[in-house]
Amino acid sequence: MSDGKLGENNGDLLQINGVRIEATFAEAFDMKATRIIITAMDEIWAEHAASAMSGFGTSVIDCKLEIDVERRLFPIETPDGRPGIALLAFAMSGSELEKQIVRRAGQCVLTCPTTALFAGLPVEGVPRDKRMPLGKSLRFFGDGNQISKVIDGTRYWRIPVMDGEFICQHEAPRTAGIGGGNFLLVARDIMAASRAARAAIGAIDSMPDVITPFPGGVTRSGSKVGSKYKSLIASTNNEYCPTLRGITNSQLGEGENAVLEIVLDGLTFESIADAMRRGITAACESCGEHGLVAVTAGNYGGKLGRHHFHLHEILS
Amino acid sequence: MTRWHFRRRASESGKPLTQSIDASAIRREWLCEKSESEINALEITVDGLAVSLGDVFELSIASSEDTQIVIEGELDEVHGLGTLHDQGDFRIVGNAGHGIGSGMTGGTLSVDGDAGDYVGGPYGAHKVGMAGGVIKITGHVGSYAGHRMRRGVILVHGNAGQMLAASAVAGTICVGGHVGQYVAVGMKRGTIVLANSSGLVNQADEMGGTSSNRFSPPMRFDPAFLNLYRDPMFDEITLSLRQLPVFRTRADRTVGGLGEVIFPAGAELAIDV
Repeated sequence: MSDGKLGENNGDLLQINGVRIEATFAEAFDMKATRIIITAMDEIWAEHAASAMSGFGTSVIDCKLEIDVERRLFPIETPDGRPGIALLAFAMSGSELEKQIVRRAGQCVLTCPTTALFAGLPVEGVPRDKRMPLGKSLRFFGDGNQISKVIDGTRYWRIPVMDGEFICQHEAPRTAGIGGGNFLLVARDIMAASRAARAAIGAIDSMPDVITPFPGGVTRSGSKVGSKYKSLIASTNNEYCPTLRGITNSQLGEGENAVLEIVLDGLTFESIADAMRRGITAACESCGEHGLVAVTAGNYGGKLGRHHFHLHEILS
Repeated sequence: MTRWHFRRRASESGKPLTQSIDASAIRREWLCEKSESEINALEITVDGLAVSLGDVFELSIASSEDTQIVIEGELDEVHGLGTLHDQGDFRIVGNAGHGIGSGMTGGTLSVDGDAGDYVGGPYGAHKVGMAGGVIKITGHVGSYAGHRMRRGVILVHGNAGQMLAASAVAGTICVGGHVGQYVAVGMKRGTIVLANSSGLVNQADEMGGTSSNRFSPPMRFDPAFLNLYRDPMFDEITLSLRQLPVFRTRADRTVGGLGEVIFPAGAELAIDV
């Protein structure tokens, strides 16, 4: 549900490379977040583990966790000097985050050859109730043969596995995060929308402190709150479905036949705002004259989330 | 923060400098609550007699970015330095006596020189040795280093005497030079990293193969966890482990121990069953 009236002249025009930027805002929510680092003997195993760990982690609506690769790390950046990958994970509560991370770590990282698992946020100074178990829970897989090492004040576990040892930090801190930053790319057709979305994700991909958890960073199934079916908490966003024009209230005008949405979760307001700015700019610059018509954002009238990303403010 | 600098006086009431001094009372926790005059009045034991600390050491106190205790001078017969050390740096400039870092729980204790027996061992009649922190020794150490050690790290750049890590319960000891006899006797858990495995070979040879009663057959091992230690001295000591195939044996099997001795290629055949 959006209060932005696409196609209306609201007296506040902004264009980038001929693409109309709607005078609306993305509405985002408080979430709980953490960063974890997976390392491995080589980049290939690290990628496999990260891929498994971040699978089925697109939306808290049903995955309960939004998780994705934040960035690839050089060996010099990782705790054990091996190639690594940093992932950011977001959940609606600390307890849900804790539950999901330890489950996924156990099934996706512990199982992956040569990997090790570390916290990606500093543990020092974080209160005990703001820390989530990693090795603290996984160590029991060692069946009594696990070995604890406290190095520079941080506890690690060495759990015997069939390829040697799985090294895992005792716990990882959680912090406040923001989920649900977004923008919608309204295009002439799906080819143009797809190109614009890929350009946006290409610009956002390497940015720290932010992830785009949907497949390829993009979703076509933007949703509204609620449904005619009582069991569903979310359903299709009628107003942006081109095939529903004429039978429901639509925000799409003539020649606006495909919409893709990019959802962003970040550790700070600034990181999301910065990523939105770069993503929107990249999309407009690459596809402004090639089918991208407008950029808008999804919100709930400002009633549900306290973080509002006004497109015109971000892009000014 | 405060820096306490103790310099051993050239002479103590006309007596020669070969006296045995128990300096275990010099502790950060105690020092930080006392004035300079109170510290100088602290009674320590010299050859069994109570002597004021100020008669043995010249003290200077200064503000510092970190908590630091520095002791220098002729310290070969000064024992118990760094006892129960809990935080900050405790630096010994010169050779130290026995029992340094006894019962230590945190911080760093460094020795620019050699140290005597019982490095990081139990304090007094306590059953458990060092329980945290890091001890760094640029030279050699005597016997019983890491005796009954429970947690923490001991780095020895030089050689270690007999009974290294005897009855250790956990912790990590890393030795760059040779080691004496009876490594890991009674060791239940913990890690010994030997950068030079010839001491282990000699020991196994002298025992005529019976060492296998205490050690499990050595197996090739990837000591990936060693990469987590970011101390330059640790990197320097363990250079050979990054250049040679690495093996691991578990010890001490006679007490059902799950400790480990990690070493580069060379000793694995000597202690094999």
